[in-house]
Amino acid sequence: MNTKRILLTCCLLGLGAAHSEAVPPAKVAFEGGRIIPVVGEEIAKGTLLIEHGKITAVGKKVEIPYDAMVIDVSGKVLFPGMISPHTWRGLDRPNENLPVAPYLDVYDAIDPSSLSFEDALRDGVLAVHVIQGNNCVIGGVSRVVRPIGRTPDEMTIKPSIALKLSTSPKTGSERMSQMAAMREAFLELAYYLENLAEARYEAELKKENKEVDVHPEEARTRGRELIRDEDLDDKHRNLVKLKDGRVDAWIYCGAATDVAPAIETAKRNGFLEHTVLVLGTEAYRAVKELRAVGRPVVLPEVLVHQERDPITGELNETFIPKVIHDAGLLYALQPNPSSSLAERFLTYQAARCVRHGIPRRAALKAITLNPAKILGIDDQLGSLEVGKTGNVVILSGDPLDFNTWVEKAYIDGILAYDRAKDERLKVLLGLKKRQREKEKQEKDKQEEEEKKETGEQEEKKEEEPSKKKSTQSPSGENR
Amino acid sequence: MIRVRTTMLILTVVVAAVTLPLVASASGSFAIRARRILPVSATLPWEITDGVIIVRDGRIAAIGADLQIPSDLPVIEFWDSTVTPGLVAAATDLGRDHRGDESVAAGYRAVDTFDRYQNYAKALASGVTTVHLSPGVHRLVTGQGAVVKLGGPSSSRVIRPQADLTINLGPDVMNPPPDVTFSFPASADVPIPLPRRQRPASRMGQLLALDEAIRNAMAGKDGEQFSIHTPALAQVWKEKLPLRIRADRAADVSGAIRFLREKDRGGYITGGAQAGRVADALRAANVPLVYQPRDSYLLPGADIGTDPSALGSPARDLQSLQGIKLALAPPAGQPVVGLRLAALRACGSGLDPRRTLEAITRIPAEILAVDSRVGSLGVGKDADMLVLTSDPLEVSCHVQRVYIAGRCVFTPPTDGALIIKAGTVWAGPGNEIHEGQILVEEGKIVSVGRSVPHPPFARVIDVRPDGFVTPGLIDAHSHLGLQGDRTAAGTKFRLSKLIGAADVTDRRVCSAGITTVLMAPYAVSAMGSPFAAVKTAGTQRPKRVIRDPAAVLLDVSNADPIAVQEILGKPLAAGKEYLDKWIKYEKDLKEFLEKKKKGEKIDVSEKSKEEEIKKPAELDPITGTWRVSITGGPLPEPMTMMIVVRLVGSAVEGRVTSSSMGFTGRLSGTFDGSHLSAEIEADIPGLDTPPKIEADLVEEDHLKGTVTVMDISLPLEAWRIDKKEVEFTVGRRRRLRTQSGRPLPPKVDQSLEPLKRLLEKKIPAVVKVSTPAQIREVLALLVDKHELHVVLLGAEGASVHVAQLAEKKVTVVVPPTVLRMRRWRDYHQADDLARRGISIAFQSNAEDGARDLPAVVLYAVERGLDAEEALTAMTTGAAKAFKIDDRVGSIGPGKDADLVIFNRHPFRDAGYVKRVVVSGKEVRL
Repeated sequence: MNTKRILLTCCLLGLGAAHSEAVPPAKVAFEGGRIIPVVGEEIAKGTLLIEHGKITAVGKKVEIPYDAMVIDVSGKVLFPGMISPHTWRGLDRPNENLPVAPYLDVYDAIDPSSLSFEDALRDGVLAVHVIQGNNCVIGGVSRVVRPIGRTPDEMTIKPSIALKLSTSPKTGSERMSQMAAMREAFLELAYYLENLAEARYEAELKKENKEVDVHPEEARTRGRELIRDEDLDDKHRNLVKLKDGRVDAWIYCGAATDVAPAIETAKRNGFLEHTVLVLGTEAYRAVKELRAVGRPVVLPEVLVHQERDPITGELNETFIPKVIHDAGLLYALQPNPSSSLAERFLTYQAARCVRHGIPRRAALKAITLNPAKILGIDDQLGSLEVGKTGNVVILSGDPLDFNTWVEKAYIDGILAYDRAKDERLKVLLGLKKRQREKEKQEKDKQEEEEKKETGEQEEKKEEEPSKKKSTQSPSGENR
Repeated sequence: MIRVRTTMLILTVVVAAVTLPLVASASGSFAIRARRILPVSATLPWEITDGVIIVRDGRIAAIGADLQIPSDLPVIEFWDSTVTPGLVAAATDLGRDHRGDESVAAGYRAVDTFDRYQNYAKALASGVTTVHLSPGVHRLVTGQGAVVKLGGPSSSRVIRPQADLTINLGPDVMNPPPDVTFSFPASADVPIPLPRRQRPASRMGQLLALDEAIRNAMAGKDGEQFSIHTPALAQVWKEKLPLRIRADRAADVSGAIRFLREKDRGGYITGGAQAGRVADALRAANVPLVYQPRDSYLLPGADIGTDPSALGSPARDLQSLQGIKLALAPPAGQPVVGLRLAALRACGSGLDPRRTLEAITRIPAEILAVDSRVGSLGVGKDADMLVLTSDPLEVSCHVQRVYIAGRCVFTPPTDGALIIKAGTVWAGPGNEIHEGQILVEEGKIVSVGRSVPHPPFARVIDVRPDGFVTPGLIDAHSHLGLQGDRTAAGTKFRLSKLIGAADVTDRRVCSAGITTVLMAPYAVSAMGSPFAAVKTAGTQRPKRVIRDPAAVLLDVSNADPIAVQEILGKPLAAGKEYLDKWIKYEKDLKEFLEKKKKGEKIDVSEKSKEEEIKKPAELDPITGTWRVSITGGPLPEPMTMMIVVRLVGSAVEGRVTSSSMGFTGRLSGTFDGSHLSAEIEADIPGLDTPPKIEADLVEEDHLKGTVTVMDISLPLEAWRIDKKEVEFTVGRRRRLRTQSGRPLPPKVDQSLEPLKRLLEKKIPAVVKVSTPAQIREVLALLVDKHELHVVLLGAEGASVHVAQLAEKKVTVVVPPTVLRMRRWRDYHQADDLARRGISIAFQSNAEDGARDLPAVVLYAVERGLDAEEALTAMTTGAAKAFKIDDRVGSIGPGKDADLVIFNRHPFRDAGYVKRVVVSGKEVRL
């Protein structure tokens, strides 16, 4: 059933063709396009060379190997594949209903046939950070995937990126319970580790047939060193990784007041250096605290915060990214897929930033290089630089122009999306319908003509006897 | 125009200077000067009058009455206000109940629920700056409370994150739901635990359950599941956090007292609806109480029939709570904005006012152990202050500013409402209101009386107990704004065009309490001059003008009594003609509309459609009487003669008379518009040829040329001393009706408009008169014949006609000189007329000299005039005389808010002007 769906999707996308080609070209050269590498200056008419999935040359004058497939992209724009920094889409639903569940992994729930991946491709998003939703206290582990592939393994770019935490109250809860549950989880971890350490120390001694000879406190201290990964149970493994810095923490702060508890939780448990703050619309007001810790942030999907004065009823609006940009923080923009119109495009979000006074370069980084840095994949993705993965989007115009289309997208130098073959887009835009109508019209016309022809023949057939009749009648009269 | 601009510039500078300190105060260092400071401190006096608070870096550096304000600090003045510490609410609904089901759950922290970024403007507007947050009231132990501030930088809002262990006693916490925390992941190894029943189930059990939980926590005993609440309770108990025990019923209160004593812990009781019954126990145990009266002020309480406390009376409870450390809090479940109302009710129920104020400031701060920072004003404490419009225990008091840590965190929105509270409000003659109040909205008086509505956030001017408020004083004849221009302005001119934004001169007059002047030109035109009623303060001309034209000024003071009627008759006749046109038009229009309504046919004959226009001709340049002077030549001295000429076409003819030479003759010649050439035919002995005059018109009414007598040319100069206006009909016709027969309105003639209004009796005629005979003539014409409203200006001879003046209700504007000599003795005209029942008004007859008018009137009072009459004459009397009493002259609903605040009666007690309000705005003097 599932394979059928995947096949179907691939067929619909016309991807089957791209990927089922026995050997994709090892070397691809894009020639004559305007290159926006995000890092460094724009190249008006340049060439980008991808060899074995990696970018090997970007520049005005690039020697193209004889065996490379040369694609003429003059008049088009080459842009790094964009990165969706924070989404639950691709999962069947955003959250488990358990408040504390660090043993979950999005790996188990990623659905390669999810339409959200197809949408990502269509919008030029070539890496997606799939992470549990915000409705939790401590959630599961996330990963970064390509929006294409048949299995989660095939899609994965980097596994085990981060655990999701939230200091904003989960549905049906309030802040006191939320924070009590958060504190309880880490306190329980400490108890668990102490007990485990003691048990490990005992076990080690048992191996040497010795009895425990020290005070339990001392045993716990000694045993701490002896804990191995395999000793940890599922429930605690990821939390230990979090404390060790092997997994990041992405903490959701829905409101400004949630920022300080998030920072405090991270500080107290020693993972502040591995913390990314996911902001809700109102959270930008804690900009002082955010600046003080200097941790990267993921901006809310809605970029404007509206607020009414409780006494005068006056409406005040704030453009959130500008506040964060001015604070000098590393930030990434999110698309807003729940908005059926503009905000679902990362380029539109970036264009609005430019409109509200953020430099163009910074706005472009916020949808490419910044999320790559935040996710720790900036050695591979986020810009068009030599050595990075060949994830390129070919745009019909400037990325911040709303008239621009994603023409083609290459992942690892392999064609992953082609607008000309995007059947669903055609349906969406009514092109399909129009084509069908056109075909139908032509068909009808043909049929009509055919009918006409046959009709004429029939008429002729009919006419003949009448002629006979007409010739007969006068003759009859004459008679 | 330039004048206006300069004034605006000065204004801008003034405004900038005023607003600057407010801006600078954002840094947290400033000084506040206030009418009254209530520090509510145990060490400072209860009340500091005209005190100063010096704030440095958000803390109070000094407080007192006679403080030297360092020059580097901006000073914020609150002349009418009372400064108190920010209110402290020791029990609020701001922390909501958590949703945990555990009966004993010490791990919840109320501080987690506090939004440190929220704008608590409503709570701040009610004066509450510091509050206690409760983790909940629905379980036996709900967690740890917190103490926070409701404003200021978010990082410093929390004062005590873990302030207490919150314990609740009473029926609400009985029978909590069973604890059903599922283990996860559930498996064969990890079974699903059975629901655990929780206690308490009865009053007996509640303290027992508490005791057990504490013992278990201290022993480190835990349930099957790890829970944060056990270690949290152990920690709290070890740290000896105060116990905050909520108990309403008497039995629970005494249980709580016993528990505190047995466990030897510090703590306090909240709620305490029935605490009055166990007041002795509370007093003996020295346990503080946060009293939350049972009350509902948002909506009347529903059926509370089964609530035993409903039978009790808060008043009786409060009286029995004497001697207990008592803090007041809003009723349980009611928003924190009700704190002051709760205190007001407590005070009304008999709680001592000082104790009441302490019970919402210093005492709750002490109970919550934050008294070192908030709850009172003292050196070293946080600058958390309220600027209030009056005493906080006055119901109508409201908040003007809230400072937290030296930052202004609340400023009310300005809606322009103003309330004046004064010792006496003199609203009009015979209407003196003691302890009066005035409400002003949008520049108009809305309400006046012993008490007025108090819209929230209204500005308050508090000049109790001795302030004396009068309507703005009126100068009935002034030249303010003319700047020495002595032109006789005709009725066509509008004097209000001369004024713009009030300038320094205006302010000088305004500072004397004169808010309205009746502005008139120095010289009066023959056809009358206009008056304008304008205010002496305001930034825009339209807002300063009360009425323009306000009156028609006529002058017969130098005329022969016989000529008075003729002099006055001229403008009146012109006005009458003009008015008649309008009356006719209005009549025609009414007829037309009626006919149209009925559908009748309308007469549109040619005759009724047009009228001929008569227009005064332009004066021709030569016709009239000329005085000629011939000099030079053989003449020993200038020879003069008079020529009376008339221009007919281009021919000139006339008569020459020379008294010095004793001859008369005929003059004939031509005039081409500028050059005159004429011959004189006269019978002069020894003169063969007639003398010839050749002269040019060098300027209007001035000829220069030569006269040739027997070959001798002599220079000649002539001035026209009389000219005649010739009225003639021009051919132009004006349409009276439209094609459809609708009458067209007559042309508006600005020079006749004031006269029209005069004859319509909308504005008065102000007549400059002097002698009794002139007054007699004026009264005969204007009052008897035309039935006009008349004001006499000067009128030194008025005393002769007292009976007539009184009967005809004519106001006399007495001359600026109070005392004159008459029949070799002092005559006090104002006193004489007032005493004999004639309404009088005062005039300055000056520009900014008007500032001395109140002093002049005071002199008049000192010389015998009734003080009440003097004040009436300066306000209501003058306003009535000029028919502007619908806007100024008295204090009443709908009138302009032009008010003068004296320290006492200006004439009875020689009070001085403290403050002036014009159009609802206070004028900076």
